Amino acid sequence: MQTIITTSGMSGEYSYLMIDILIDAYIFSHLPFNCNKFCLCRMDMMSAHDFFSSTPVQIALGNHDLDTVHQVIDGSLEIGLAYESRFRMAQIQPPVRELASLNLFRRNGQPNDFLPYEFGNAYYSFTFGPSKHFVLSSYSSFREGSLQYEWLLSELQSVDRSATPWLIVMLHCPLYTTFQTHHKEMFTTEAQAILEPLFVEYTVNFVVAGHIHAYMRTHPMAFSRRDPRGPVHIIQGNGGRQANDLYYSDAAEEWVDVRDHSMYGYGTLELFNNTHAMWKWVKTGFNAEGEGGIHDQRFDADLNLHDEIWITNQLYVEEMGVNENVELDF
Amino acid sequence: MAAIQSWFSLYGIGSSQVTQAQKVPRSGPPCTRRRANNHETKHHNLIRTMIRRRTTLASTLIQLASCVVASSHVAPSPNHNVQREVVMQPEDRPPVGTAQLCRPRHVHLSIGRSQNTTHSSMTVSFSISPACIDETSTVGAVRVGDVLIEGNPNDVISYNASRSDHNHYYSDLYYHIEIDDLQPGRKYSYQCLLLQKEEPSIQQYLRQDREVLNERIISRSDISTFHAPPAPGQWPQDRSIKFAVMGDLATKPHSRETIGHLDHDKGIDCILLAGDISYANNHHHIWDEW
Repeated sequence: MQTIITTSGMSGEYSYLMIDILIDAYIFSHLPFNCNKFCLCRMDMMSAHDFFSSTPVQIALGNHDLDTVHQVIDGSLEIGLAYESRFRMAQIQPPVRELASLNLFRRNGQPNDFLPYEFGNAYYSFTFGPSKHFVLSSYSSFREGSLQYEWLLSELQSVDRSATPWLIVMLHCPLYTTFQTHHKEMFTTEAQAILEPLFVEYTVNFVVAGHIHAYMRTHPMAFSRRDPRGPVHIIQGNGGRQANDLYYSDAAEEWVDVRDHSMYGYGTLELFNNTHAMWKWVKTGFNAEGEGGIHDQRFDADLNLHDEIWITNQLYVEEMGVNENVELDF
Repeated sequence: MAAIQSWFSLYGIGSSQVTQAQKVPRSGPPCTRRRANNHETKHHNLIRTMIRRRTTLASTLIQLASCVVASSHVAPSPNHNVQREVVMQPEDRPPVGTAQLCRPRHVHLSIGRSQNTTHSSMTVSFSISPACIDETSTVGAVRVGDVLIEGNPNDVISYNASRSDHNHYYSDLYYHIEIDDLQPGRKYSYQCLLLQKEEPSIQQYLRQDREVLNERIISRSDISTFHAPPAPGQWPQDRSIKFAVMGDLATKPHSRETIGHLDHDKGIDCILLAGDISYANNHHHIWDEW
């Protein structure tokens, strides 16, 4: 009220200047100049970390990226709106997203069947020097005859392994898991049944997944057995949301090499030449007391557990006469 | 005379101001704008007024204040500008007022569609507050080296996720500008810009036009660098290729811990993020925080 009286008492440029000062003061009061120090509002992660603006980030579609909760339009759900708007991967075609009927979801908003979402950021491929990458969508149909399956098959057939000797697949739901959560989920069981034969036939080197808030790396394996020509399956779902999943059985399955459910971290995959790569698990944190919730595995944490291993390109295993024992554990 | 000055400033010669500016650290990154739903249009109008009237007394005061705040809290990084192949002139002052409010945010990269032995591509994405956008007079752009690439209408996207009368969400505007014709493996420096539109819009500009461009800039991001993706089958010289694999991040303390570690893990060429990025679950302000 005071302001109005003041400005109306002035005339011409001076009142405009007054308004400008007020606007600036308003903006200034809402914009702290160092968000780290004065947390009036939270800074977004991409701005806070320089590597987002210097390193390409390739993403896969997770169930929590669908934004399903409460987004009901005429009895249907619109999915992946933010995921498609905020990111732009090397798309095959513009995205085809249809409204998804409510019976495709469980009551908690999690999908319980494949969703009508094709192309766009859902599934795509890219080449990075000596490695060819396929990013698949666990939530778009990959059954035989589906768009994703036919695309993947034709792409796999056209890969030139002399130029790109490494073949890496990334998808959200793992094919193999040693943990209780999501153990019998259809996106895992069907991927194992439908996609694994393709991965073995075309000698995929690594299958990278998340979904389960824990860490697991298998030996090279095929069809639930160790096989030096099969892919290495990695679950790296311990980025920060949680780390507290229970093991499905106390004794690890024979194909499991390293597993952990109590620490946070990320993995690095370093390609040295056509035949050798190093996989390394970098541990970044542990649950504080009570942080792990009802399945708090804090006391199980094996602080001496490390995972750093040379992996021989499965493509050359037979030619080189290499067997599994060549893997050097550190 | 003006041409000589611009030539000097371009190469950073004979200008004490430039060396000074390199020491001045950037001010803190911008924050997620608070949304005043019912006053959205009023708010926009106020800011548009401000965009039109560029300089004010108060913004000078804010500039001084921000210099003090920024220099006292952010340590200068000595090697920041050393290794760039294509050297860009750094900003001569920290952004204030409109330049701060309209700053490109969420700047990130992804590998583009065309990769072959001679050409590779990279997509630069960033967001602009909708308060700063007037489709008839502003346009987002990326400057790579000395080339300016303005966004097509196809490159810009925003969405409305309002669910009921009392819960509105209008997203920022997202620009995804694909930069083609990069030399595989080469290092480039780039900057995201919000520009006043110019008719006819220029796709490329020569070095002499730098001053014209500077007049058009409403706001700009920090200058960053990237390596163009290597060509299929190409190995970098004397170096391995390193991917980082992450998953299930969210915006929790442990997520920041993980990403904080990645900041220090040098030599990572590409990040593979295996889904469940923000755990927004339709609360779109959480996406804004990511």
